[in-house]
Amino acid sequence: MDLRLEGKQIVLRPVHRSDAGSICANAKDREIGRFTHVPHPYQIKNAYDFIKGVRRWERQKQVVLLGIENRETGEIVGIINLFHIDRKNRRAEVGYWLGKKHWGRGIMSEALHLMLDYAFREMKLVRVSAKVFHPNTASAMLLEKAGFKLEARLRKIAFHHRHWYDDLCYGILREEFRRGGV
Amino acid sequence: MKVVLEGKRFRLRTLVRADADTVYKYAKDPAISRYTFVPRPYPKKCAYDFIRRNHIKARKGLNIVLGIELKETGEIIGLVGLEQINKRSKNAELGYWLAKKYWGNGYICEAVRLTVKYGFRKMKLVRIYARVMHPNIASARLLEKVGFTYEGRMRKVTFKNGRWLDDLRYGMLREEFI
Repeated sequence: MDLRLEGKQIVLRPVHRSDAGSICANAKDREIGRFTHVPHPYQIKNAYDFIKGVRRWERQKQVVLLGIENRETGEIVGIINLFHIDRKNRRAEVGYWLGKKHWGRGIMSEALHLMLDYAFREMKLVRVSAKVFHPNTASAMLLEKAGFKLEARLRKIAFHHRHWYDDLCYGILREEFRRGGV
Repeated sequence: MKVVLEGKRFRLRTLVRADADTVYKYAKDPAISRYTFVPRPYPKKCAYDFIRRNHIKARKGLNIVLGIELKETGEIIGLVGLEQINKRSKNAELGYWLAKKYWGNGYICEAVRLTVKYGFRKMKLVRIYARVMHPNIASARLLEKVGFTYEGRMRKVTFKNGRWLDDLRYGMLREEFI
């Protein structure tokens, strides 16, 4: 059965070929690729390749990847995933992006909360980590609001768009996660 | 590619299949696997597999693992290496272990210095980093002594011997290397 995580404004669910149009529309903004590995320019072919790739990663059981569906429109406005899933050490890393015109409405906070709830409650993980390219302040603030703690700053660890970036490493433990809500 | 780095009392050199015996002899000590990813138990097959796997990775340019060969005896008494070599970000991860009976003689300090020098000068790396499982104080002190900077502590990263261990993260940038 397909995974479906229900929120107030959004639903997290697997992406399908028919979502390629809305994924492309939201991913193609230059701002999305600035601090993520989402390619730019982004074309419909990228969306199809991405959706095909997801199936392969999921078969390898290292990734849980879900589209963020806007409840009102049914459109996929962003992506959230758990990756580097390490069953032995019961941890995973979370990654995400959201279409720019949907920023500032708490959508990502809600998506993150749903995903963490699933990670800690269903998957029984003990730790979820996240890496943010400094200075992606919006993403850092989102994580802090969700209860993540800044654990390390790894200097010059990533080469992205011809610059070296520091990674801000965040982590949240199961006992720190507030189930109550966003 | 064969690498040889000359130290005073030892040389660092590429491992060969015949080194499996001594790698096995020292790596199976629980003192070695306690805070490293050296498996436990450590059957001899592990040493052979490790050496073979490393040759494959080395050919692909993903890592360089060197044996610490004592000049006096010709024996391999530990390993030091740069792994996870990322050609794009010019980053690599430093790792090492030394046979317990040689601890406290400054061997690993010298071996790490030679390896770091090779990483920055020859390989033109921009950053070398290391992960220490807390509470491996000896390893953390060693890195600080060699000039690494403490970058943070990741909590509950590794489940080992029935408990969760944190990762202490250390890094050195090329411009910090003297």
